[in-house]
Amino acid sequence: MVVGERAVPAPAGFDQPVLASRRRRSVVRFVASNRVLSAFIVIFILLVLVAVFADALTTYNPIKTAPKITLRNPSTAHWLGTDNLGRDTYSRVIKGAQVSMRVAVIAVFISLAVGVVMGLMAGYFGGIADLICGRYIDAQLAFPGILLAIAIVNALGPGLNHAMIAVGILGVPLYFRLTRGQVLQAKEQEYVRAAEVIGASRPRIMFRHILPNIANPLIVAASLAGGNAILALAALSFLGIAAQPPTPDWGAMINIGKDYLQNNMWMAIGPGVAIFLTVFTYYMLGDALRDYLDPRLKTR
Amino acid sequence: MTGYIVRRVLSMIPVALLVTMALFVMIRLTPGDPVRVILGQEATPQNVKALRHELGLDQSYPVQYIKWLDRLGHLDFGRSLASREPVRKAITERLPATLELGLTGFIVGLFFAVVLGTVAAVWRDSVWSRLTTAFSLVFVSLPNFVLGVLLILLFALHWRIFSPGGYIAFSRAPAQNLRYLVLPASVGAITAAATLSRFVRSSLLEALYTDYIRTARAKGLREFVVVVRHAMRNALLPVITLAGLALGGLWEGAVITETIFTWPGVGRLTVDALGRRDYPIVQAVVLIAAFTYMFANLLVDIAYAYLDPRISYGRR
Repeated sequence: MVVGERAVPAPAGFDQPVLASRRRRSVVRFVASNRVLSAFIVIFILLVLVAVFADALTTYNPIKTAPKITLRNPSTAHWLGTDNLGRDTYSRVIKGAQVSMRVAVIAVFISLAVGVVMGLMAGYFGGIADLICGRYIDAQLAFPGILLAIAIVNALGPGLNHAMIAVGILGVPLYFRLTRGQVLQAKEQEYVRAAEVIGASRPRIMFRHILPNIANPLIVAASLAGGNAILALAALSFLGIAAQPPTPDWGAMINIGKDYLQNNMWMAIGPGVAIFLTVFTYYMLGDALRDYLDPRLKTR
Repeated sequence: MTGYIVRRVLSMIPVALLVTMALFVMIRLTPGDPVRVILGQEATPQNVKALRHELGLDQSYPVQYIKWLDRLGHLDFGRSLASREPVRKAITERLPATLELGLTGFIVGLFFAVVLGTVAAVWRDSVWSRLTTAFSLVFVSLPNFVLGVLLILLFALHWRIFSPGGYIAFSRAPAQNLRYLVLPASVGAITAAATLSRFVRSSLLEALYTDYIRTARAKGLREFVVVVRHAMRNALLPVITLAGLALGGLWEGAVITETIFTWPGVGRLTVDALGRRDYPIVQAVVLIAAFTYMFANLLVDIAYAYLDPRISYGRR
């Protein structure tokens, strides 16, 4: 079913609505037949809802200190206890979801914007543009990921915004390569030739004709990259160069919590579980999506 | 083969130059005047001018870059802003501890990755396969700093089998050194095993469905021989790439693991330098890490060409 649809691509703009509705049905069937995937979709939606409505879900002000109730163990008043400054750990974990998700989304957007523009130029113009962009990506890939991010934040100064830029830059090669490859294929297609013949400008061809036609794999890659962005940001926060106090950020909370493991382990375990759950959900959805897009894997 | 190696090394030169340029730009972007950082805000204008001249900061950027490259060629990374000791000395002193931790974790991790990946591929519908896949998925999603905290919690604070952190040189007290090593090396090993076992599994699965494996089975060879002598030899080739990259990326793990377990290696030096805004140390470590990574890539490519005769390394 799905294989058949993908094997014979429909001419652009001809019977797309029929294919789209068929594909929608097959996605629903695929999700419905896969209980694990359904469960992770529900968890993912819950995580997004927690991030969006974090302020309503917190039981205390996540940044207000309370020196009289520091390092309390979990209780009915403080579900995950309190931290070294008396702040409610549960409220900080919940608010941390908002911080992490927002920052991850923006970081992925930065990667996507830079990578796609570079990939479009390299793929469409070729020649010197391809050479410059390609060498830049080679040089970037020569740096081990987190160390490049450290060097960038080191240069720009510590802070969540700079860490976000650093993580955004880390993701650029993925989108660059994906876009460049797709553009190389697309620019040989008839619709691009036709646009050239009728005298469309190069930016118009790149952004109005090619980009919408290569957007699907980019959207899939971007939606799955959130897990990596959250991991990278948490690592930078853990090292103390991303989120600065008193911002409730999961990585930074673990960094402080690791020194108080004997007093209240939930200071570190709470945000640790949150990071794990979020990244694990992203990866499970990614695996399921790959299975869906590559049915050969299911037969093995 | 020699020609291929020469060409591959030559192709590294532009990338290496770009890497140094990127780092040079980042140094220049770094906020704050390095001369003021060294001398303090109270320094007289004469002293500032003299030191700026001594450090070559009064010259144009291209000249500064060429001179900086020249110093790098002599492995002169400048001096730490905090301690004023040469950066090279600070790094070389801590390198043995980093290598001990990183290599132990990597080798143990690689061993388990091959064992677990093979089990998951050969008995692909068994409980073992499911457990291996679950292990891999769980630990790929678990950041190494969370894993480190969990290990400390269980093995150091709850069961009190190991120490939560610390270090003593192997040459001074071998048994004590190993006791300190177990937990941080486990973090590296588990992370490496989780990442690489997925690739061993998928690569071996792919190999087990090829015609030559069917032929080997048809010849009546024992399954062990089919898997180990025939499938694995080809399946492990792509794993070499990833293993090489993981080896080149040891620094990444070092930064986090050494921080959690107060292991006095290069990673911890970097994090301390970040906290003190000691830029020369951070930049030197990043540069060394980038060159190690590039060198690991080079070795992987050479090993690949050597191990897989189908790869053409002749002239195109």
